[in-house]
Amino acid sequence: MIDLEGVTKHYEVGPVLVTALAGIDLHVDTGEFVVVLGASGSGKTTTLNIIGALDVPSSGKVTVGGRDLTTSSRSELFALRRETVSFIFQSFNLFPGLTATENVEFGMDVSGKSGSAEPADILDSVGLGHRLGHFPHELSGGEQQRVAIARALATGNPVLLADEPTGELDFKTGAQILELLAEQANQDRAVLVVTHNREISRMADRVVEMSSGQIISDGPPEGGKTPLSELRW
Amino acid sequence: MWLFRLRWSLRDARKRWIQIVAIGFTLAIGIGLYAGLSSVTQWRLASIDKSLEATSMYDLRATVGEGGDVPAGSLARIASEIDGIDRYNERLLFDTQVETVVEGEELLVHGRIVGMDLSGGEPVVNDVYLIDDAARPVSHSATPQVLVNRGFSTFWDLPASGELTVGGDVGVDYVGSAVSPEFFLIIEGNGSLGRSNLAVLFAPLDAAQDISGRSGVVNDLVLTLEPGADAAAVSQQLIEAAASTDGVLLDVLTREATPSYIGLTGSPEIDQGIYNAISLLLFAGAAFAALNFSARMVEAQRREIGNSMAIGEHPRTIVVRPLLIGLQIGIIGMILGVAVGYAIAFQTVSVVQEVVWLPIFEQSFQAGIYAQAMALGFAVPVLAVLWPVLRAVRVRPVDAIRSSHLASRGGSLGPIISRIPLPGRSLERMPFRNLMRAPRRTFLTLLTFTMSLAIMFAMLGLGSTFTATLDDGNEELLGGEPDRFTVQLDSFYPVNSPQVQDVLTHPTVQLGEPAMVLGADVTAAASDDTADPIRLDLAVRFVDFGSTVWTPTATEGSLSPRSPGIVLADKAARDLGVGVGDDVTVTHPALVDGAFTYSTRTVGVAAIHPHPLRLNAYMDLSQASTWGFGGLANIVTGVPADGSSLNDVKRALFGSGTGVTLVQGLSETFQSLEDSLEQSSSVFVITRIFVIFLVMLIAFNTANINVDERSRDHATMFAYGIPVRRVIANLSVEGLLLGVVAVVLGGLFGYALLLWMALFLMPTAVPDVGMIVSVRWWEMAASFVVALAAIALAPMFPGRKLKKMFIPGQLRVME
Ligand SMILES: Nc1ncnc2c1ncn2[C@@H]1O[C@H](COP(=O)(O)OP(=O)(O)OP(=O)(O)O)[C@@H](O)[C@H]1O
Ligand SMILES: [Mg+2]
Repeated sequence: MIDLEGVTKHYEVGPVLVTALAGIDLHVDTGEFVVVLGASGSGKTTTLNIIGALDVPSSGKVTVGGRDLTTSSRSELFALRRETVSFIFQSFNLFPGLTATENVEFGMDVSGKSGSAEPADILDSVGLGHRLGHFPHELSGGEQQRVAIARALATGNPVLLADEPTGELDFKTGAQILELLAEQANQDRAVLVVTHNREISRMADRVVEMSSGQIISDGPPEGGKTPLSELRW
Repeated sequence: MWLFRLRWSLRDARKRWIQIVAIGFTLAIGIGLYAGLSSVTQWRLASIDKSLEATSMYDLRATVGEGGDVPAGSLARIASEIDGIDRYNERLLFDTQVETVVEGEELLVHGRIVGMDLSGGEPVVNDVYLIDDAARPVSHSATPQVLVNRGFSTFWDLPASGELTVGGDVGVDYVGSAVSPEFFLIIEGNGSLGRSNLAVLFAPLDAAQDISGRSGVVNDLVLTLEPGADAAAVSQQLIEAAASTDGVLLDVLTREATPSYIGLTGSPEIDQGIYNAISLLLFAGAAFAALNFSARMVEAQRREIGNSMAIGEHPRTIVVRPLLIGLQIGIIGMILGVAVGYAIAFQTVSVVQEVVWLPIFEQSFQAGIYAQAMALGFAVPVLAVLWPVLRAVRVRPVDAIRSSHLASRGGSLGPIISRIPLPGRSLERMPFRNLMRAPRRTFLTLLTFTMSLAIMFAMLGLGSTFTATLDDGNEELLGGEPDRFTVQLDSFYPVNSPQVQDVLTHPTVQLGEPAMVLGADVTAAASDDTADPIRLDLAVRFVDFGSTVWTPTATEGSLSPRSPGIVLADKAARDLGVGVGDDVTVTHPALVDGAFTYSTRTVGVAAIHPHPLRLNAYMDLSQASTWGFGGLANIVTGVPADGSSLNDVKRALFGSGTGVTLVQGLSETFQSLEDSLEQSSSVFVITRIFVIFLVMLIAFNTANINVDERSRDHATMFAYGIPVRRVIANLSVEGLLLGVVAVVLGGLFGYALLLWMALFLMPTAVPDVGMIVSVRWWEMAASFVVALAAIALAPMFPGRKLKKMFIPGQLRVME
């Protein structure tokens, strides 16, 4: 589903050349639940952005859902974002002028999934059934985060990218969200979750660890996949 | 989905309705000014034709030459025998002086009695239109009854009826006001007679004959032609018939050659040129402001646009929401534009009708003009929105969702400027930082302020330029004697003739000097070979260049008595393209063996004089003999003797019966122009009000948008305990920094604009006048201070919004 080959990303800030990605190879199949670990600034978000066609690599090849992103046209990239990937942002990126329900509705509509499910049900599944008509500024950080997740889930796209989806959440809610995301992998989606919480990575099928723009390890979590109930953080 | 978006957009609109309305109003000023003023022109053009028709203005007017007259009925008889004449009326016209008392002050002006059929029976050619259903003057009344021309009675605010004295001692009753097509607009005596100082009185024919003491005679015939009749042939027949039957020479004038008709029908289009320029300027300013603000409103949504892109929304649909805002602005602009247009139109009409009153004035809705203006006003905000949205969807989504100020930085200048170290604490540096953070945005806002201030400067400057032009002109002619006057004689008289000597030696006159004035046709000598050289009709005055009483001022070159050079007005020299030392070709009347002919000679330009009227040219009195007029005079200039007033002189000389046709203060040289400038300047007054309004709106919008754009910054500042007034003060300082630069730039561009308007635009309207550009700096400074104050105070309004801000909510939205 996702294929990165020798992907690099450089930023020029004045005379300084910042290397965000120093050449990474990554393959993720449908049904996989992958956690990306790494210190701050190691290139996690950059990787996700490139997979989500929000950003282009400086070099390398990116294939998502069978489509080569480096050679795709603008409108193909738009279509990819609409139909193939769904993003959960580190900074939630909700529309401040829309209520929780409307934000979800909008996500469904853009991906052409309107009518496939009730936005209210999806919000209910992330524990927000009682905040449907609230605007983002009336919600807590964690609640906003969950609206963002609901919006991504509502699209039903085969690739789910989540950037620190549990950063704002307490253990209980965080666990529920992760469970939800893990379930998505069971429904034949490729799920990529970025975190710097090592504990979370234990529930993944696979853990990809990044450091200074490189993948330093890739494989099942230490001690094997652990059920959610045994995690503690 | 469309409903969804519409709802979303309406929710946006509710949050920003003040801005949307304010931007819409900005546009409306531009739209309204153009549509309103252009409508007035259409109304005038249509109404002039209708009014002329309603009062049956003459097609031809035949006047008995050289002050002569013929028995009543003889001109009518001639007319009745000529084919092609439809209707005709005989009249008796003569000039006189009219005296009355206005608010305790005696008013003595030049007058014209028009004796005609006022019975109201058969419709007559060149009929009067009675104002407010005035009574008709009664024939054969013990005291003659007349109607006063409306222009005069309203200028002086005369009561509806009253008494006047004509010709020095004849008392007449005026029973009301009226207009007649010849005098809708009054331009006479080379522009020295306007509605304020030419009192036209319409009298029954017999009353006019009584007043003039010429019973049973007429001297004028007005007629209309049958459709298809040849005006030239008819006039030729009239002239021939009058010469053979009554032995008199008729001067025949067509309607189209009548100066007041030319002025009347030409002025709407001339005014339209000025209207166009002004409304274009203001529209450009308003459109630019609207463009800037709409763009900034969209810019503030960049992150949202980025979000939409990130979740894959198609650019086509991303555009919809901002576009809806553009549409809302456009619609509000259109609606308010019509309101503003009508307000301006009615205001303008009231002034136009005050100066040139037309009996029929139609004010039909000018759908075409409004459609044009509204289409433009609609396109501006829509384009203004499209442009930044299309730009926003071009950037990579990853940049769009990054925090907004990074994304809107734009250009390579921003990062460089923002690294310049500044003194002071961080809070004090904030306004500078904010300006430098987004140089493009700052530049656009600056440009918007500069444009509107420049227009304001030019409008104010034009007002003072008019005043200065009139004042300087008077100063040049009066030479320190406010009552200097000129006496026009009815013919050329030897200087030692009783006609001239009576004036010179009259006890009410001192410092009298005989002079000659002749019309001449002047072209640049060097332009002989070009196909169509510029040809000016000038009035050449022969005055004694050695005089100690008065000589023209030479701003270039010098006056030397007895030398043959000509002194041209600065404007005339510029129009002809000549300077001191160049030659001009002068075609002038010459007196050879007692007979008039025309002769052409080449004359050097000796000097340039500063009088703004292009018409006035001077030569030394000694040169009159080379034109065959040696020792003759047709005017006398002088000042009232000690103990005498200008009115005393007018009364004494006009009544003396020795060939005096007009006694006039030289300060009245511009009278008709002054009277009609009132009209143009009223437009400038309206515009000025709207420009000031525009500046305020722009200040308001800028502050409002600043507050919206930075709500998160402000929330963060409040969270750190910075008081609201401090934030407002910072916004004011930011506005003032821009404002001060805008004032400097606006002053410079405004001056350039003023020069263009005064030296290029106005001459198309009044080619005879060389505008003297003048700026009243205190007035300018005062209005700039007002503008700056508006800019500095503007953040107070959104300040309320700041006070009410729900800080946690603002901080919470991570968008
Ligand atoms: N637009 C940019 N210009 C310059 N450098 C950038 C830019 N975007 C990212 N970087 C740099 O690239 C590196 C990787 O950034 P990235 O956002 O991928 O880190 P991350 O692993 O997501 O960190 P965190 O856990 O803090 O979110 C960082 O060093 C960052 O400073
Ligand atoms: Mg990150």
